Formats: sequence, structure tokens, C-alpha cells
Amino acid sequence: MKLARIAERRGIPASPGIAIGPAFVLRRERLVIPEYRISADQVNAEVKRLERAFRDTRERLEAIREGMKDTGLVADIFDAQFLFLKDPTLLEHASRNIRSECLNAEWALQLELRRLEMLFESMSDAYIRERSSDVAFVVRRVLQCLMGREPEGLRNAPIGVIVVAEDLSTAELAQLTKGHVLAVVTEGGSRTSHVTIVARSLEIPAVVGLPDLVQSIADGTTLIVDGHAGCLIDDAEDATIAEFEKRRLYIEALDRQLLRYADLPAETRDGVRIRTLANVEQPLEIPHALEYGAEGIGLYRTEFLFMNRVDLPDEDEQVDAYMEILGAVAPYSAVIRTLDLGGDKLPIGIRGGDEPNPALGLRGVRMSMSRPAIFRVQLRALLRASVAGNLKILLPMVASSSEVDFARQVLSEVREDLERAGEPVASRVELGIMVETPAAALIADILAPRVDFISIGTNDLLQYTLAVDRGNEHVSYLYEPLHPANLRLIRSVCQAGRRAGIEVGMCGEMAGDPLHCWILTALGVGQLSMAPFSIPLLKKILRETSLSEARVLLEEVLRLPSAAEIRAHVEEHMLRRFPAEFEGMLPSR
Amino acid sequence: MSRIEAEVQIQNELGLHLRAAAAFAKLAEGYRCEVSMRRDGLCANGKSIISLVTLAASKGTRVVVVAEGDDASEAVSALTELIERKFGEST
Repeated sequence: MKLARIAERRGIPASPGIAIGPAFVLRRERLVIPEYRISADQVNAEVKRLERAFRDTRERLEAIREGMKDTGLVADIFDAQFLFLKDPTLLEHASRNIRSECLNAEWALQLELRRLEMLFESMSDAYIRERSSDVAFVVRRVLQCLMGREPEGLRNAPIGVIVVAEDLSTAELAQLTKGHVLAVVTEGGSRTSHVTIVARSLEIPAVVGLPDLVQSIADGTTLIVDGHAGCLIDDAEDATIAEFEKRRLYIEALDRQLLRYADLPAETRDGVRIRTLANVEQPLEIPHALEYGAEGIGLYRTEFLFMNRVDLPDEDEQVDAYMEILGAVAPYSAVIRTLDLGGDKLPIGIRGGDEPNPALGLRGVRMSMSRPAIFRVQLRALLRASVAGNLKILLPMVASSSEVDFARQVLSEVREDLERAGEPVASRVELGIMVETPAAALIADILAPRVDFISIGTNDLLQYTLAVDRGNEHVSYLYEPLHPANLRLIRSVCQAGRRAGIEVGMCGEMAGDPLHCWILTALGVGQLSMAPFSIPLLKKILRETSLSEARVLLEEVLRLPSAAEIRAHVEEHMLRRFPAEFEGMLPSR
Repeated sequence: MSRIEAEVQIQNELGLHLRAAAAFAKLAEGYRCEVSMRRDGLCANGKSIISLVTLAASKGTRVVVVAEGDDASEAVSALTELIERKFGEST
């Protein structure tokens, strides 16, 4: 079954699900700022009016933040904006403009915003330049308040629309509710941005990172959003809409039907037990993950704790965050990965200089080695939190044994410090590594005896092995998990793990794709960590599989010369074996 | 009412950037006195992150911390110590 690919845009799959509905395009209204002079005796009243607007704006934002407290979401996203709203400079300078020039409050504030924008613009630091948008957001809210305008937002959106926006502010995200909004598509955003996290936790399908949306989509256009594949189709023909509607109903039905597999073990007919784990970004997602049958957390990324903020999270804040995770998933284990931020996303305190090629730059464990103080604080927090559950620590971007030795050394020093200070620490905390560089895969036999577990991170491993940036449209078609080079690397990592007697798992998208689970099982991957919603289907397929037939498929595949032939062979085989499960899935590929 | 000044050198790698400015302003906020920071004829409100950042004081810049008010001397000693501790920034 093939679908005509018309006007299909590819973005980043942010939150799964299919939605079909009319576009609601969020256009930023251009505020026309009134500019007039006031008389000298009105000055005090005008300053008061400005102060009141600041106060009201603050109260409003605080109310929104308060309303989001229960959800445990995004409250801290507001922090940068509050910092600026509370900052005396804005109000002081704007008031001075009123007093000295007899300007009306809106004009006075607007002038101050321009001055700040020019100042920020001239700064060499990209992080500060970006914060200029936080200031602009805050000023805009105050201006709207001064002018008696309601801030634009999703509240006015009719029920059952697909929201199209450049980006959604925190205040707008707070207004998202399931049922009201069918799906969200944005120009900005990434896998870890706020839009993604909020949409996922509300189970609203979302695709982010789609350029030129707002300009090119008219209100009311029928859109198809496929949050699994990360694509958006506008102006679809009726046949395409019908096809996706069928697929949507099909997936929903399948999901309901599959949920009964959630509580069953992922065990093949000949008794091989695979552990299915969940990748999560937020504690909020854990109940979902358990509902879908996760037997623990295979990857919790700590980047979110560090992003979109002015300062570093201190040790206590980190302890709280980690304890929440560990407690929520106990008695299952949670694999928490130490900080892996690219240079572009760091809070100001730990940003290095700009790097021409961040993917090959200072990130993951390399960053930890170059900034040991940050690493140490994180490890201390992790160990202090370890008493709340079953913690495993994962090191990202390892490429050599010295990095593992370094981390072990710091970990044992930190443990000694804590124990000496009488802090309770779990007696056993495993330390594992991500294998996501070809170097680590090739020396897996050297690394495996030094660690307690291995997790293969396929997203990066593939990019580095195939030398393909999957965000680059010219070469993204070369990004293929079933490439023989990738299969060979996985095989040798599994062999090294077996010899060292440690578990080899996999996180990354390959692990959650039901098409790959036979191959991975036959290669010897014992734990698969994925987006929670993928777990039930994977369990079903594994339960109807035997290791021996998976091995036959692997044998056949390893003899094939190219990724394309391997994919065709696996697709054909899996479609034949699981027609109901794959029929509805494959067209999206 | 007293006025206290102290000259210090910005020593952290990244200079008086946003995080450092936030730490400075937050600490300054805790004192009743007025706090400002001067550098080469520029003067910033010590309780305002925006204002501090616009000084663009990079590593090695000498700045003067000025406090005016009852608790000025406590404020200046705490704030200069913060700068000397490199704003608690990890290296």
C-alpha cells in the first residue's frame, strides 16, 4: 500500500498520534503602540499606570504559573521571564522616559525595549541575544495590559483545531488541553523543547521544526498531522485524508487492543526474556510509561533540568528531581544519564565558546571532564537520591576507556565524601555507558569489563557511523538503522557484553520500532528502551516470536549487501508474519 | 548612612554574563542599601540583571562595587566576595 506523497512536510516527530482537522494559525498581532505627549501634571499618574500594568502582568503570569503547578510542568520555564519582569531596570528606565520626556507609558516602555534589544543584539554572547526574546515577551504582555488588550492565545481557538504557530510561549502552552486542540505544529522546537514535552504529556500529537508554517498555511485549511512519522500534509486530497483517517482509527483501535499486552512480559515463545523500558523526559510521563507496560526507565535525560534557565540547578534541586524519578518508578530501576548538552544549549554559566561542529565537539562525558565541578555536583546529587529507588548512572558520548576511568574515579570519590559526611547512599549504584560513537562500539571489548551495563544509543551511533546528518535533507535518505555497518557494530557490542557478563540494551528510535525487534533480539540486545506508547506492540510481537526464527531472519539479512535490500527483506518478512500490525504502519515510512 | 566602594577584578572565564549577573543581583536584592557597579564611566544598577549585563564586563575587567545605605559595608563585602569566588562558577 503506497500513498501519494503530496505537499508533505517533514519535521521532528514530537508527540505521537494522528490528527486531521482545520488549521488555526496563531498570528502574532502587530501591536500599534500609541505615542503621545502628556502634560507635566499627568506624569505621576502615568508612572502609576505603568507600575500598575507591571504589577497586573506579574499577577497574571503568576496565576498561570500557579495553575500549572499541579501538572508539575513548565513552571520553571517562566523563571527567565519573571526575572525580567521583576528587574528594576525596565520599569525605572520607562518611568524616566515618562518623567523626562512626558511620554505616554506605552511609548516610554517601547523605547526602553528598543534600547535593550539594541544592547542585547550587540552582545557577542548568543545566549544573551536569545534572552532578548524573553524581554520582548514580557514587555509585550505589559503593553497589552496597558492598552487593555487580551494577550492573544489559544483560548480563542475554536474546539477541534490544529494549532499552527511559530512557537508557543509558556503562557500559551498552559492553555493547551486535550480535546480542545487536536494537534500542534510549530516552526521552532526540538525533541526536548517545551512544546514537545507539554504535548507529549497531554497526549496531543505534535510535529515541530517545520519551517515557514505560519506564512504558508491559511486558517481553516485541512491539515493532516502524523506525530509518529513527524510529517504534516496540507491541502491534502480527499483520498489522502480518507487514507489517514482510516489509519488514525486503525492505530487507535490497535492501541486499545494492544493495551492488554502491556502487563505481559516480553518473552519469546522459546523463553527469551527481553526487558522493555521507557525513555522519559519528565517525571510526569512515568505513570503513562508504567501503564503501557514499561519495566523501568531505560533513559532519563537530565538536559531538561539544565536548559532554558539562567543558572545551573544546584545540588539540592537535582536531588529532588532525581528522587522524584526514582521514587515514581520503584521498584523498577531508572537509568539516569549524566548531562549531555551540545554547546548551543547550555546555561550561561557553563557555555564554552562557539564550536563550528558541535556534534563532534565538547559534549557528553567530554564536557564532564572539562567541567568536573558540574559533573561532581550531578554525581553527588545522583548518589544522594539513590536511596529513593534503584538508580543506574549512564555516561553519554564515551569514546575511550580513560573517560570511563575518569567517571569511575569521580564517582568513588563522591561516594567516599558522602559516606564520610554520614549521608545515606544506596550500597550499589551501577555505572554504564552509552555506546553511540563508532569508537566505543569498536572497543566495546575494552569498555565492557569496566562498566556494569551498556546502552547502545542508535540515533547518534548511526549518524556518526554512516556520516549522515539526518536533519540534512540531501542525505537523510541514507539514514538507515538496518545498514549492515550498524548491524555489525551492534553485533560486536553484544558479543563484548556477553563476554564481560553485562547487560546490553538499546535506547534510541531503532529500539522502539517493531520492525527491528526480531533483528535486535537475534543480535542479543536484552533490553529495549523506547517511547512508552511503543511498548505494547513490541511486547505483542516479541511474544509471538521465537528466538530461533529471529535468528534465521538475521542470518539471511547479514548476507545481504545493502541497507535497501535488508530493509525490503525485513519489511516483507514482518509484514507476512504480522500482517495486522504492519499493514497500517508501513505507509508512513 | 554610609557609602562604601571596592574595586575588584572580574576573574571568571565568562565574565559578567547573565548567570553571574543574576547571582549578583539576587544577592544585592537582599540588602536594603542601593547597589551599583561601575566600569569605565558606565554605571549599572546592582539589583538589575539587565543593567549589569549591559556593562559587558569580561574576564579581567576591573569594576567598582558601590553601596549606599545602612548595610552598605556588609553588602560590599558579600558582593566582592561573590565576584572573587568567580560567582560560584565551575571551571
